[in-house]
Amino acid sequence: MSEHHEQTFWTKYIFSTDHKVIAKQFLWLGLFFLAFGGFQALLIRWQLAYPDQPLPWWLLGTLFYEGGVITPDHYNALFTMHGTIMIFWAITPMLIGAFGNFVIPLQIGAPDMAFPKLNMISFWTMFLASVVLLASYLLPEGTAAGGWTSYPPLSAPVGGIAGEGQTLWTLALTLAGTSTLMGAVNYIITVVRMRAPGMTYFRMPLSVWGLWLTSILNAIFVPIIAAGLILLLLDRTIGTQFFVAGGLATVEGGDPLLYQHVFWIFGHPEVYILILPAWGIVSDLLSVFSRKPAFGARVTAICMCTIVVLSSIVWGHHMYTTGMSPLLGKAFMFLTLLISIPSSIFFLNWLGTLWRGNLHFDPPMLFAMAVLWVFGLGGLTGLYNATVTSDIYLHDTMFVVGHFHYTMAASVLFGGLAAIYFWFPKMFGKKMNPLLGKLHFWISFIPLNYVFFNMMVLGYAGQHRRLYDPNEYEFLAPINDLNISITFFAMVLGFSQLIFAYNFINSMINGEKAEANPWKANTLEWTLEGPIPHGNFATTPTVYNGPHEYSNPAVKDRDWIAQSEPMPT
Amino acid sequence: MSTQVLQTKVKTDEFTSFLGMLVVLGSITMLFVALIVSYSILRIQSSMWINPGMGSIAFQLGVINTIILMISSWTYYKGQQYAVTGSRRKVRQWLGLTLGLGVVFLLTQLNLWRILIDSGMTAQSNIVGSVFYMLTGVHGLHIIAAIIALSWAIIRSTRVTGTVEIRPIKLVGLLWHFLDFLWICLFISIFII
Repeated sequence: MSEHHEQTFWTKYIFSTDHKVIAKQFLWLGLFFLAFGGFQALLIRWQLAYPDQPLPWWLLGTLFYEGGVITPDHYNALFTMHGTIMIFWAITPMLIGAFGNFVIPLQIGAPDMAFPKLNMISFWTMFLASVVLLASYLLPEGTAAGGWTSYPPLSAPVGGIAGEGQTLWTLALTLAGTSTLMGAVNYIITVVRMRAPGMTYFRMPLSVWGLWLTSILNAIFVPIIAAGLILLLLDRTIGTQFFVAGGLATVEGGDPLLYQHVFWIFGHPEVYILILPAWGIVSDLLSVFSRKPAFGARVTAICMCTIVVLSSIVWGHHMYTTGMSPLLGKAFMFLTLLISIPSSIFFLNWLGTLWRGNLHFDPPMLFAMAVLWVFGLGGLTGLYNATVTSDIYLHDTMFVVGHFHYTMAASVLFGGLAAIYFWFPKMFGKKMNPLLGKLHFWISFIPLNYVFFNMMVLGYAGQHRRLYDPNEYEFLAPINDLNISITFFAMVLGFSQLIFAYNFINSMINGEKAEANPWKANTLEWTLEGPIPHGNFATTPTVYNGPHEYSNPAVKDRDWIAQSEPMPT
Repeated sequence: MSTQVLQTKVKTDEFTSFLGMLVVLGSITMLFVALIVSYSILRIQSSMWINPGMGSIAFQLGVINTIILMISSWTYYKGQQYAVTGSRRKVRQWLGLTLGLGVVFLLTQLNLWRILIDSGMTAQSNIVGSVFYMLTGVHGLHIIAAIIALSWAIIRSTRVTGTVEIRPIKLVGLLWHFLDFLWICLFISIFII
């Protein structure tokens, strides 16, 4: 059964059903929005450090804002879209869209996804969502500005923020969710049905585990936010009042708190949707660059499964200050703190992998180890947010901002960068410059920690997370200098990404040709000579070994053995 | 181009498609679970809840629609049986009838909406109306999707003369029976309870 298609430019690069091409499409989309959202972060930081001064020329101030001044309305739109874009348009396409597509079929030995056409539609739905989202900037009253959570009444048509930006935001998010769902169906079924002979579940690389569990969470919980968005959309378009209450309501019965519940029933699993792929990728990379089997790989997989289950019953910890019953608050606190048990177990497994390993500090490894650091810090500070008594004080302060940037943003960003440095040779057939990669690492890692650690200090000192002008409050005067220095380091962090952009594009064009297996990794994708044709494997591989066979004494001439090679006896 | 000749088209086997459809149905279930739970919360909090099926005509139309969808599931089953024996004409007849019943369901639903709007219950007039039009509307959108899918399945399965490809019929059938079941749940929760 072999067919050969003459492919035109359109079927090969634009409307392709090849998972590798779709992966690249998602990667470009994700990188574009990462730059866009990142730039918005710099504008936010400028405003927090120098609230009275117009933006400097190098932040293109006068291009976007009259006189370079960010008004309060602009500022609301900035942090709203920064969050929305980073979560749904940068991280999701990069880790789930790009690496989910690229890695899953290659690592399990499949010719493509189970439903290639659905895969293509998934990308183009995401593209449509992006167009709708960007179109909201063209509206006279600007884009959405109710925060990334879009709580009513901020997002409600009556008493909310003026303009139709919120409507387009809701529509765009619904479309993005649909795209995610299509991807989730594909990933789940591909893993269940398309594994090569011998590829048992526990022989799957942990990257595939992470992506698979993410997809399961997506399939279950994205429809929940879809329900919330449908109600919000009806409120905004045809004038129902599901989320309108009190003096604003013309009819009795609406409930804004309902939105918060629906949002967080999805929203908390979403945190794990974002981070599970990064956990999986990091678990694998640590093993490759320590030249050791991943310590307790099965336990890591089981811990990730446990977290998937727990993540669905802890959403209330986002809502301690909504006046919920103390008993319920305690229950949510207990369940939330339970998550620290499986997290600690696989964290120790990561350390166990590194322990007495033969460490190679290539750029992917540096970024993978950075995930350990930032996720460790983020996880520990999560305990303060999970505990009702301390959360009541810390709620909605910069502490929370620092915390979730450590766990969700920094961990996932570094995990994604590790993945890019790691799989770049396989994706584009070229090598990235390792020296620039290391420079990029250090010049990102140090400022990033300065920025997010000190955000937690700001929050502890009482700075609210969505303040327009901290100088208006006398009690924040002592930390003004800290705001300025954070902004300085944020700028360094932001502009140092230009090194990465240069390295990425330059390597793609002028890079040295990469050999088939530059990292001496043992998973299936590295057995293929590049460029990998549509259909991947000439003959379906048979799998004999686990995904982390490094330094096995049975293998004499080298320190690794591919998953598809029989172990010498 | 490349010297390697590879299988560029993935042959998705029937069980794989079946599992994919199950995941889709699972996601639709979660959507309606969220909507129905939201409905129950709004209803519990409401000081007075007027059942939209209080008016006898509205209730009768609801019952008629339930019966229409149940019959359509039966005609679908008949069509699928003829697909096994391979008689194309019968498949087209029975599945066409199913399709027609789906359209009749939608029209009856619109009629029900019109009657209720005339009686003063609109989506904006009170929370009962909002919930009613929202639930029936989202379900109706899924019925429209199912009608499109069924049209595709009829064309797809009978495109080659003399044979019937059963897989599209089986797949869309899962969706069809599922939406039928979903309607019964909605009918009970909206009109009866």
